[in-house]
Amino acid sequence: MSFDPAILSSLFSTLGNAATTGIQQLINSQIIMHKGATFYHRTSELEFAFLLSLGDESSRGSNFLNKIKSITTKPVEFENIIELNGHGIPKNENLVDLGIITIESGRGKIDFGKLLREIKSNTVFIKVRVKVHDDFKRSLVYSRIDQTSRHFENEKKIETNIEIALDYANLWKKVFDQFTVRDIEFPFHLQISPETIVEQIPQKNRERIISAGEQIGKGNKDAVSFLRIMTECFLSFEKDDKRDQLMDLISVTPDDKFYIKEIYPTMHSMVIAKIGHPIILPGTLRIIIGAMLEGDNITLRGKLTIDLKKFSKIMSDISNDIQNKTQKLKV
Amino acid sequence: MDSKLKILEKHISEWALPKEEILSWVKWESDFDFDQILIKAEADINLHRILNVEEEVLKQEDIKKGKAVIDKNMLQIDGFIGFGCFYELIPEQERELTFEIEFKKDGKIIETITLKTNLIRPIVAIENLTNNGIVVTKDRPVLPQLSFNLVSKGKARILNLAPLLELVNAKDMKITLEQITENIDNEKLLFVDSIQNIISKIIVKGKGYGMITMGYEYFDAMGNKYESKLIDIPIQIEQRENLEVPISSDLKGQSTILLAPKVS
Repeated sequence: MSFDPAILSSLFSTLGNAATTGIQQLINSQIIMHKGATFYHRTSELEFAFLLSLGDESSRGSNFLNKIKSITTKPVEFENIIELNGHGIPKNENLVDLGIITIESGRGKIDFGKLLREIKSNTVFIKVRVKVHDDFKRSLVYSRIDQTSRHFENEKKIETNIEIALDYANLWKKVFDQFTVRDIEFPFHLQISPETIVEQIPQKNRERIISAGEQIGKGNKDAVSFLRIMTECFLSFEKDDKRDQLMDLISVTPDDKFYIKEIYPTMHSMVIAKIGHPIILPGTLRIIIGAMLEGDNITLRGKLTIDLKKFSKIMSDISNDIQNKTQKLKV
Repeated sequence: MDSKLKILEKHISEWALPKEEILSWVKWESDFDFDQILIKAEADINLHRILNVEEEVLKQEDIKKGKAVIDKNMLQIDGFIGFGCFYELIPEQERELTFEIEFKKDGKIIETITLKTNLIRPIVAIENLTNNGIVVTKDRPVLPQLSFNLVSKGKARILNLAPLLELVNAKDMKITLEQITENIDNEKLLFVDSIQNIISKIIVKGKGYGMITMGYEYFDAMGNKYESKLIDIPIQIEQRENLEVPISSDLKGQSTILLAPKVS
């Protein structure tokens, strides 16, 4: 496969300073059998995987050497290296152990002259992982998540659209045989209103909360205990078992392209109305959604759905817990 | 080459707030014969990104006015065009936004694709207003209370709602708005944000005639600020007074995030 120099130049101008001529030299070397690239969106890392055909040792004559002159004259260098390694196939020679690949202070070198002299295998696999600028991330992956979600099924579910489009598709489709974008991350914040919490608390318990708040100023020790237990119960929202339950209430589709990576419940400082006594309550769910784009796909659409009925169950469990633990307290 | 356009995928964001990104794309069978694409958006739409085109296209001056002309040879790969844009202003009402993608051959439009999305916003409206004005005279010595309900009429969530006052012709009076967190009678408000202001009262000092326009300011999830002027309250104070007029307002459905919009 031949490459349009304009496309390559565009690729490397897109990459900015991170990728040096090293990768370009490899792509241009004409001995590449396969070129794959994976972009890790979250960490802004770009991984190249090259399969190079060296032929038998006996066939590495002057014609062959002329073809790869650009990479054998002097070692090919790479900057901002996170990972650089390789091995021969089928003899499994390790290019790092043999000193063909060297890495120093984030700068990597491949000595192709030494590689041709010392590697007996007819094929070599090389992996290069570099850190690229965040600008590149923004220019390559164009993504969007609704700032306003939709309620449906009698307000029992919330739905949010996720959209991704890949720009510079020509680079990936023409330069590489395979291109994948992994670890595309979307943060999504769901705010929990105090009303949502109050709805789960039985009326009798609501009265006890108000009563405890009023009595705390009068030195009622049970009132102090009641509010302390209530805070502890609400803080259980952050515990692992609750986080597992939270994972269960959120789904993303299509599930082979999107996945829920993490949920972070965060607590907010509130006060008991009328009384002003401070209390900590669940306030926001920060949801990290992951996505993957590969093959011929240059666009991706999905939906994030939150089941509020399951969320109510979690809050109801906490409320029952408060009730059970404070039964004997006189407030 | 085929003279008929076969669309493989047509997409536009279902809804967006003002200044929120709207993302759209169209994919078609790449054997379709055309030589130019024209993207046309309505007024006040900033078309700030076009996908799958050479950099030269992005230098066109009309792009920020919602118009882009793309010659076929400016497409990076065949069969795909996309764009990102946003509505630049704060609209008075929610509305539909229409985009057109025209395919041209020899200067003639041979195919047109229409894409529609909903521009949404929060809207605060007033209901059940009992307002005879703030009138304190010898005949009506009792201090009135302003009581009403606020309702959410827009599809977007109302954030950081706060009352505002505008004074019209009240020379000898000093009128201010004060917010307090006390005296909450609403049973649902068991917990409140520690910095949230719940109840407001109007403080009126002096005497005379005047008019207050009361409204609310609020925000959406994009940080856009809105103002709704809702009531004109006449004031008549016969003798020099120092009055506190409580305002009792309850916003129904503030936690409602979005009512399902219909997309055509």
